Amino acid sequence: MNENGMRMTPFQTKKTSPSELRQLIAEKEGRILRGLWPSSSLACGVPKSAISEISGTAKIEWLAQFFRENPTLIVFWAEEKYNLLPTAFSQRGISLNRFIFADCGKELFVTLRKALRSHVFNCVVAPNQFEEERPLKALQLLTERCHSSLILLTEEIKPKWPVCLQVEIDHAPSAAADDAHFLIRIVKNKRSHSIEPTVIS
Amino acid sequence: MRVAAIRLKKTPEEIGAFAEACLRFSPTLCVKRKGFVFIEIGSCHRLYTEENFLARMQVLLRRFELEATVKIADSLLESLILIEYGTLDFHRLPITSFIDFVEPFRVDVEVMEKTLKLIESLKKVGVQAVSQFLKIPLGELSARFGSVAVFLSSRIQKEIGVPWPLWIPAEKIIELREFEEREQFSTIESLLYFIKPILDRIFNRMYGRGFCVSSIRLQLNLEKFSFTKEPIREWRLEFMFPQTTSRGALPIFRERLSRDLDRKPLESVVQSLEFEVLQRVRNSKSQSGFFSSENTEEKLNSTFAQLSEGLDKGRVFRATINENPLPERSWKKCSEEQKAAPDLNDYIPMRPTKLLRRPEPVHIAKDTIFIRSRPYKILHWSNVEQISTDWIQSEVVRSYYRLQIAGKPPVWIFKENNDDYFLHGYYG
Repeated sequence: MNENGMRMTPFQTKKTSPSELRQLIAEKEGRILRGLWPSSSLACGVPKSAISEISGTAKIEWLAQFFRENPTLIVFWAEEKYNLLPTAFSQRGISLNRFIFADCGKELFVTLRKALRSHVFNCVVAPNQFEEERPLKALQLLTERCHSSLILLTEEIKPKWPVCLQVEIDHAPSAAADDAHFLIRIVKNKRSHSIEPTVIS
Repeated sequence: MRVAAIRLKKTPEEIGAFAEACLRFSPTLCVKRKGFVFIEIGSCHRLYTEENFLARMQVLLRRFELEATVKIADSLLESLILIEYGTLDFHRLPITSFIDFVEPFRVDVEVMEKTLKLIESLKKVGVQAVSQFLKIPLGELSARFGSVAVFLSSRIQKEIGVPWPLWIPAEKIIELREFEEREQFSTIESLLYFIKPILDRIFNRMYGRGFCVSSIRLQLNLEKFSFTKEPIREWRLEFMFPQTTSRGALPIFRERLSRDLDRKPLESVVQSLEFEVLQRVRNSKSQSGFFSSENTEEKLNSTFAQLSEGLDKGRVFRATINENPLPERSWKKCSEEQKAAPDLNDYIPMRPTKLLRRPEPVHIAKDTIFIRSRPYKILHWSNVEQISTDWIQSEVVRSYYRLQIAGKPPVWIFKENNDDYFLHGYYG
C-alpha cells in the first residue's frame, strides 16, 4: 500500500522527487549534513550547508533577530564597503563576541573562501556581488563541504541555481518602531517540496 | 613512583629539543644519561594512563623522526635496568648491570672504573648473577670488595635511591634543517611541505614548556652563486594571536611567503632553513585541550589571524561597544573579545543597523524626503532624540528622527543647529 492507501503492484515503487534524489546522492557522497537553523519568523529555517539569498527592506533586521534566536552561531560578516553599526546588534540582544567582521573591498570572494575553509564559522554573511554563476557554484561546494550556511544579501533576487533559499523580507506595514515583525516571501526553496512562492507574515 | 625510560636508537645531536616536548607529560624529567630520557609519570596518573602515555609517546617520536624503546617501572633505576637488561629478576640479572646500579648516568669515570674492578673480582669468585651477590654477608663486603660493594648492595636493596638531576631547557628555541641535493623545491607548496614538520617540532617543544609562539623568524639560506644578490632571505612573523599548533600557523606562513615570493622569487637553491622563536607567551590553556584537540576559540583566533594576514591591517576585526550616544563613536574595532558589554537599551534608543560613513545631506519638504534627489513619501516621524556632546569631544548637537518612508527601509536622519537635515543610517 502506498501513502494514499492504493495498492501497489510488485513493479511499482514509491515515486521520489528530483530534490529527494539529489539529497540521497549527496548524502551517499558525504557532502551534505542536512539540517537547518531555526527561525521563529521563517518556518523553513535557514538551511545548513547551503547558500541562502535575502533581499528586501528588512533583511538585516531579520538577520539580527535570527542571530539572537541562534546564540551558538559563530558568524563571519563580510562587507564590500563596511557600514554596519555593531551597536545596533548589541542593542538587539546579540553577543558581538561571536562575530568577526571584514571590510573586504575587492577581495570579497577570496576572503569568503578563506572564511569557509577555516571550518570555524557556522554562518557567513556577505553581499551578493556575484553576477556569474561560477563563483556561486564554487561557494556552494565550499558551504557543503564545510557545513556552514552562507547568507548573501542582495537588492534584487534573480534566479540562480546554486542558491538553495531565496527570501524577500520587508518590514510589516503595522510594525512599530522597535517591533520586529516582518513580511516574508519565499521566492525559492530547494529543500521544500512546494514550488509555489510562500508569503509568511 | 612510576618512571618511563626512553632509550633512543639514534641519539639526536640535541636531545634537549625532544626532552622539551616530553615536558607535556611531566615536569620531572632527566636527560643526564646520553641517549636516554627519564620521565616521572606516576604523579600524573589521573591525567593519563600508561597505555595512553605510550600511544602519545609514539606520536611524539614520529614527529621528531626518532626510534626508541620505552619501558616503565617503579623507579628511575628499575626502568633503566629493565630497558638495558630486559628483566628485574635478580636471578637472571647479570653482575655487569652493577655499573648501571652504581653510576646510572655514567658520568663519574672513577666510580665506573672501581665498579668494573669489582665485577672482575666477583667473576673470579664465581658470582654470576645479582642474587648471588646479595647472598654475600654485608660484614664481608667491605673487607673483601671495598666501599663500592657496600654502596652497591644498598642501591640494589633500594636503601639508597638515585637523585633526579636538575635539567633546565635551552633558553632559545632554534630549529635548523639542512637540505640534500635531491630535496629541492620550486613551489611554495613544496617549501611548506618541509616547513610543516619543523613547525610541528617547535610547537611541540613550546607546548611542553607551556608556552605559545607570538613571534617567529624564518631564515632561508640560499646557495651563494655569483648572481645571487640576496643569499639570506628572512621573514619575521608576529602573530595577531599567539599560536599553539602548526595547523594555525602554517596558513599564515603560506599567505606571507606566497605574497613575498611572488614579488621576489628565490634566486638560487635553498641550502638550509632555520626557525627561531623570537617571542613567546604563557599558554594559559595548555591543559584545556589535554583530552580533546578541538578548541573553538583557538581555531577562531587562528582564522582571525589568517584572514588579517590576507587583508590589510584593521580590515578584519571584532567590535566592542561603549556608552557613547554618538553612533560613530559608540563602537571600536578591536582584535579581542569584549569581556563585559554595556547594556545600552535602558538609555539609548534603538540604533539603525547601517550607518553611513559620512552623513548625506537630504532635503525635506512637507511630507516628502529627497534622498539623492529622489522623492520618498514620509509615512511616520518618530519622537526626537537629542544628542549633544561636550566641548572636549568636539561639540556636537544633533536632533535625530526615525522616519518611515514608502518603498525604503526606515531611515535615521538628524538636524543640526542650522536646520539642515542629514541622512545617517538605515534600519534595514
